[in-house]
Amino acid sequence: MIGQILAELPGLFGGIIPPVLQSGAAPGDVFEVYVFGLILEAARREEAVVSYENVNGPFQGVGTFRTTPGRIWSQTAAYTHALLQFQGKLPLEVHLGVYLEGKSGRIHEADVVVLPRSEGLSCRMGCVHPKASRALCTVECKFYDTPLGIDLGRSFIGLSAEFGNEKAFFVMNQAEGTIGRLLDEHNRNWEHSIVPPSTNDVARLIGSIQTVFKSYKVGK
Amino acid sequence: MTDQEALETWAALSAILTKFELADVLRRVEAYLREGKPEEREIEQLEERPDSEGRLFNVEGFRRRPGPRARYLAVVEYTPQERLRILVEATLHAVVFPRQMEHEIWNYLEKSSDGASNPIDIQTIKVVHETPSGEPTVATLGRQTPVGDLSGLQKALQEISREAQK
Repeated sequence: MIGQILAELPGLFGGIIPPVLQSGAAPGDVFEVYVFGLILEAARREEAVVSYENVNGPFQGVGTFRTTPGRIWSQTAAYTHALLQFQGKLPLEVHLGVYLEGKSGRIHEADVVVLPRSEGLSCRMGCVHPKASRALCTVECKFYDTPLGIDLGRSFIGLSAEFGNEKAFFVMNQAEGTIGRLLDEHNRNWEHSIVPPSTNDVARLIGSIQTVFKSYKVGK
Repeated sequence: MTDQEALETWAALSAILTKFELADVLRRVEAYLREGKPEEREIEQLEERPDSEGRLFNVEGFRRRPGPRARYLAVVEYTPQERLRILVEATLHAVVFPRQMEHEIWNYLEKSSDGASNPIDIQTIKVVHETPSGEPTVATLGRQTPVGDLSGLQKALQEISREAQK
């Protein structure tokens, strides 16, 4: 049985490895854009109208996403963010890889952040970092091919204190492991096994973000 | 799966990863395995005998503390079967899942808000890595993902993982 599988493996790898090399995107980068997509899905399920905009003007059909921390006003490339419009509510923006000002006045990276559009516009015009206190939610994305070290959990506990424990999410591709127990013990928002085949876990993350949007819809 | 079979399968999968320029996955797994597996153990706790003060390093000066045994964390080696399962899981996360995510990103980003007729038109999705000095690196996400091949590879790897669990 195993011998037969091992004999077939080279052919199976050969069938998919060339596209991987052509794409050139690191798995961790792909993961951040994937989580960005899941947030848009959560917004759609809460009946938001989703559209896109670039930092330097209207969206032209090329989605450009930054996966390293950057300034929200940076025009190094025509970076794209999503616009969410819930009926009767002020619009929101969803960004990838921007710095936020935390509670202590220090600057930290948010892999994904949902902001009021007014905050996004103000900060782009003023060339300043958005305040985490104004964000609806932030997501720290972790994609590793081996189980995550406990140090990443410890870091997130500090980061979420800066962003606000109730709005900061830790999202990883790996199973819960010791890091999950640590974050659970500290009452942090966290989700595990976020990969396409884990449909139940992915649905739970979408549901958690839907809850954020639900509160926004009924809030003042 | 016996220890010997697990070791042979590990060797075969390692060779395939190296052949397809995925040796870095193997290196990360080996580094992870070197840290060992945390395992809880119950041990007897000792306490000093009341009359042993001042007699340092004398084992006779200690006695078993009354009450239940205490739980402590130890580190043990992974078994060959556990090592193989970790390598298989890492391969799934490094090779298969990113391609599946790439495929789903297109669906999530292009999906229309009313769930019907007018998907958002996106021609290209670029992922940009800014660097402190120099030009940012740009990768383009592929729209056409060989889902069929991915599924075959995913099933084969998961079958190895299941066999390693037996």
